[in-house]
Amino acid sequence: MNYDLLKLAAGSLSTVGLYTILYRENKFYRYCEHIYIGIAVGYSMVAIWTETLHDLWWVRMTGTSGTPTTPGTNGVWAWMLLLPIGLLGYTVFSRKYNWMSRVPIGMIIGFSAGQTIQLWFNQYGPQIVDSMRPVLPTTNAFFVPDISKLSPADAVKVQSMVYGSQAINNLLFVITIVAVLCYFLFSFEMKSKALRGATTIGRWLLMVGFGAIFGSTVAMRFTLVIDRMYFVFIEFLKQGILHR
Amino acid sequence: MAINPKPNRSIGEVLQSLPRQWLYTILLIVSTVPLFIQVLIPNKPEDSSIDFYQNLMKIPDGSVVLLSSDWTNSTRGESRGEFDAIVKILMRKHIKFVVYSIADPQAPQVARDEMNYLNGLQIQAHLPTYQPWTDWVNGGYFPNGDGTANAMSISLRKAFGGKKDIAPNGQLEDIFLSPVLANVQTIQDVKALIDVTASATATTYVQKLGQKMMLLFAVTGVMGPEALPYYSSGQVSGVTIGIKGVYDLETMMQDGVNLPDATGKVAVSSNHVVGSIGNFPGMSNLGQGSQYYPALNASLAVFILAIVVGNIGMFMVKKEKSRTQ
Amino acid sequence: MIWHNFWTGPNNSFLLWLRIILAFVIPSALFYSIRSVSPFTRKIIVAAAFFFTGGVYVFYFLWPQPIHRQPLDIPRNLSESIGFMLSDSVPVAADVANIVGAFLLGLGVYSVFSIHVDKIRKGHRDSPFSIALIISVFLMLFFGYLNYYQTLKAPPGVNMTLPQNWHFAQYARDFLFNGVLQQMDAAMFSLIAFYILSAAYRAFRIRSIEATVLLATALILVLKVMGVVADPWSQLVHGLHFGNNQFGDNFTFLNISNFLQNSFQSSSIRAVDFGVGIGALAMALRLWLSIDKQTGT
Repeated sequence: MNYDLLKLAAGSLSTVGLYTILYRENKFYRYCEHIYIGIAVGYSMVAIWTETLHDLWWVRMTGTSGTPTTPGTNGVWAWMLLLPIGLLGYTVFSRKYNWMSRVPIGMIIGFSAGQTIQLWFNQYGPQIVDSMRPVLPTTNAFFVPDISKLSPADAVKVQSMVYGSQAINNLLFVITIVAVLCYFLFSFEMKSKALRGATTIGRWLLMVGFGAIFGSTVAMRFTLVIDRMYFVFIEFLKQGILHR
Repeated sequence: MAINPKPNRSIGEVLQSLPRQWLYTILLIVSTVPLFIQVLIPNKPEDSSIDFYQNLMKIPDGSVVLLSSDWTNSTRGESRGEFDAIVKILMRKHIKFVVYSIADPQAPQVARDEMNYLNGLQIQAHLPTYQPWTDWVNGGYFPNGDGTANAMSISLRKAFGGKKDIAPNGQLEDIFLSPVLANVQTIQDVKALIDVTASATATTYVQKLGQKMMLLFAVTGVMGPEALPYYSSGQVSGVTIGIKGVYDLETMMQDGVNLPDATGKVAVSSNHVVGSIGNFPGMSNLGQGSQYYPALNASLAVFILAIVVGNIGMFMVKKEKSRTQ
Repeated sequence: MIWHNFWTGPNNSFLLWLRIILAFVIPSALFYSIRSVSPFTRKIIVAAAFFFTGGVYVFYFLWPQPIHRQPLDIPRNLSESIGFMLSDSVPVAADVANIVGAFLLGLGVYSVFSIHVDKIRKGHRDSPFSIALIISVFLMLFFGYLNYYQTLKAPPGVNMTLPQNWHFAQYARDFLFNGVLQQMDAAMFSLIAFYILSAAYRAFRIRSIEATVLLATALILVLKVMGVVADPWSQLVHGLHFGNNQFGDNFTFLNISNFLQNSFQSSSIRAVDFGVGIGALAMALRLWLSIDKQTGT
């Protein structure tokens, strides 16, 4: 049995082992589950050093001796200051001193909060601008011409105009955004009938978005099952064992 | 001792209470059988996929792009096909790339292994392989993706500073010494950032790099609805979603867009594109998308049938109750 | 010159290692000495951690930035000096966050170890599974680091990431990572599909307008993905004409789905995103300025 086939066999056995939970809870599944967690934890302990800390921290702190092709670099000792700060995080397990773990966690959250403030407009600004769509047509034609058959100059002209069908789509777009935003107004009582109506419509239109999310999720999860079946039946059984 | 006889269940109740093991078995069968039957299902690519392909094909040959490979085998069914299709296009256009991850520590190793697999396919097709260090480098994993993306927008050299990959001499060397990044000083020297992701890294890149470079996202089905608002507002130049997106890419690699074949027939037409987009004739373009698509169709049919059967059962039970009352 | 040498040192030099050790010992002693300070001082320390780290990005956002800064540019005045300093700080801040984040990843590892070692010590009935877990951790650790070490110490010209150069350690790491871990990863995530199917069959009922709208939209999107249904339907509606227009093409599943997506789906998700975004901004401000119950008023 060659190495590739052994690897495929191990993968198929692992897949089948985890799938046994679909019938009922059993020991084989529990063993597979624990082996999975164990290898994942072990790998993350390797990757923390090899993928991140070694290059970003250790090499910068201690410098390098250089190779025939590249000169050596000096070490910057100040990077060591991060280790005591990082180790403070482990005081979370101490009942008396766990307040100190909030320092490194606070640093991470502080960085994240600062970036949220810095970049909020980068993310939402273009979307706010795009949401202000023209709802009145700028030409008498209703349907948009097929730009694939036009010259680039004519295509630009077509794309700069708002046709009747586009105006209707834009109106629906704007109404949807306003209605859904109305649904999330919780800080005051909805006395006006118009506002209550907008909230109800917003709730229905929200379901359109959720329906799309649900449909995409279903398709994606089924693809994962298909991939597992492809691995077991095609890669392992058909190509590996039967060599077809 | 009185024995309660098992009450007779109506058809409606039976339809609503099929054992779950039956459903699981049916799903396993319909997911497996179509894999043995090679059939090409007709496909019309979506506009977002067409834009993705069009913008990828517009990148000049020989340029440098960033490939954020934020997927692992947990989403292999979709992300692997996306990664393979994208890298095939990059290889054929001789575009160099830096592959790295901001989402998962396993992701860089998964990307390395997938590159080995794709190079194996190149060898089988008697084509030149894509050499690590010369044609692509691995930038490793960044635990703080937000900060890294922010740093990239200011100084790419500082953001990736200190990252090493294995040079042809077998030693770990700074990736900026490689031919891939030797001439890259700022983010403007990189033509695009392509993110193959199963998580919310797309939002991270839109926030930090949306206005500085072209963004192209290859996301899983779950992240598709979240990525589409960025596409519709123009912050992202193209989005390919899930296995349908993979099949869209493979279809366009095979047939182009608005491109007539030898008989004058246009296999993939789009009134969304001015002119036409080229293809890769005579090359192995079809992959995971075309292999999984028939099985996906069958599985989704089972899904629809299950919902229909359940609802028919509900209506039948309601009708019986209203009749007896 | 002296300032430059103060922060750096040649690789493997005594002075550098001395400074590194002192950089560990002195802050550690400082943290040890403040471990029992008053609650008010604790709040100040934690609030300072939040403020100064977040402040890097906030002040970078608020302060005027140099336009088209080139690598060798020198600041001309105080405003530009501060702008240069802030833009140089952002990549350093990212590295600090990456490194501290990597140190904190060990918390999860520690938790897993403590739970399972505890089970083994107490002879819990699940202890055989915990033993399997611990063995798996050490196997992956051993072969992972052995592979890394051998890669670093490979002879010149030998790239150990290429399969043709592998030894036993590389095969073992590949077996554990690609052969077992990656396949189990995929299998775990795919299990949800079965539960989705079961849940959709049992619970997805058309009992209200909202449920009907959700189901209808989901079905249209699913039918769009199903080429075996979408393509014959497209052929059918393609024949419908309205004057010179291919009016029927508007009723293909792809175009109906695109209409729903462009008019309703993107906009509703965008509206939800706006709400989430405003909430995130408010929360970010509260965290940065420590205006919440835990860290102070």
